[in-house]
Amino acid sequence: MTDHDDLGRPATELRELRESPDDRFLHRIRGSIHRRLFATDTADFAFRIFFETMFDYLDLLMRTFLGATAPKSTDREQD
Amino acid sequence: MNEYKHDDAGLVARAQEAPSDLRPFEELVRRHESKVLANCRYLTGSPDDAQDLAQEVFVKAFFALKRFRGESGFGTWVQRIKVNHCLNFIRKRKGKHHVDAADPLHEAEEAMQVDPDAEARVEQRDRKQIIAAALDQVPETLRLPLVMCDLDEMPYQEIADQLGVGLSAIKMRIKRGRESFREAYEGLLEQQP
Repeated sequence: MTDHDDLGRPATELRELRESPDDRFLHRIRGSIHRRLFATDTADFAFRIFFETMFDYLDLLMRTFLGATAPKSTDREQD
Repeated sequence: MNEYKHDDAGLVARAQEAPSDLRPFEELVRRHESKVLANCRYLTGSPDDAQDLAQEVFVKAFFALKRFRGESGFGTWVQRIKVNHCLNFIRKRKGKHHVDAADPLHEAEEAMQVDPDAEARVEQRDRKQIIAAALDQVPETLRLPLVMCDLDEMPYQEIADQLGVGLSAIKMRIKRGRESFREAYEGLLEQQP
């Protein structure tokens, strides 16, 4: 015995109940998906740009400091 | 013309392989939209929100599709998303002041006036509107398990889990829901000219 054996009219008709969406339904779903994909891509792009910029900035700082001290150490080694 | 001859599983596989191509997913939407929309409408009892809810269900399904393993059919999987989404909507709505001004009888009359030329379809539409109006008269505590059981064909145990109610209580609510629905349905039939 299943859970749905004791249905009887009109409850059986509930199973056949369908609603027709309007003509723009699929169009709205497509638009919603595209908007979310665009938002995700934009956030992803912004996130990546932020970290790449930070990485470049830190790299520049490292080069500035290490680049200034490195020749001294090589000078000492030469002496 | 329908270019897709695949079954649901084939369409899901194609949609997973190429997420940027929306066509297989759109075909899945076409196949399931009328049932999802009907369930959203009768679970929430809100015809105004049903289209938006059904739309959100399909958008959620699209972004969750890569995690879908095909252990159940696409329809069953979407049904779970839809039930969760509608129950969340109902919970949020309960927290707000909500006045539903729509009179089910008036709504049925209005819907009958939409397409007066299609005489062949009037009787069928009539019956559908009466069912809709009768469902709207069933209290929400009975309507939710009734719709989940008789529209979604979910097993009792799953309904009990979703609603956080005991199994015996769910069986009782479904039984009372069917009785309440029959009473409302017969009452509305008697009012018909």
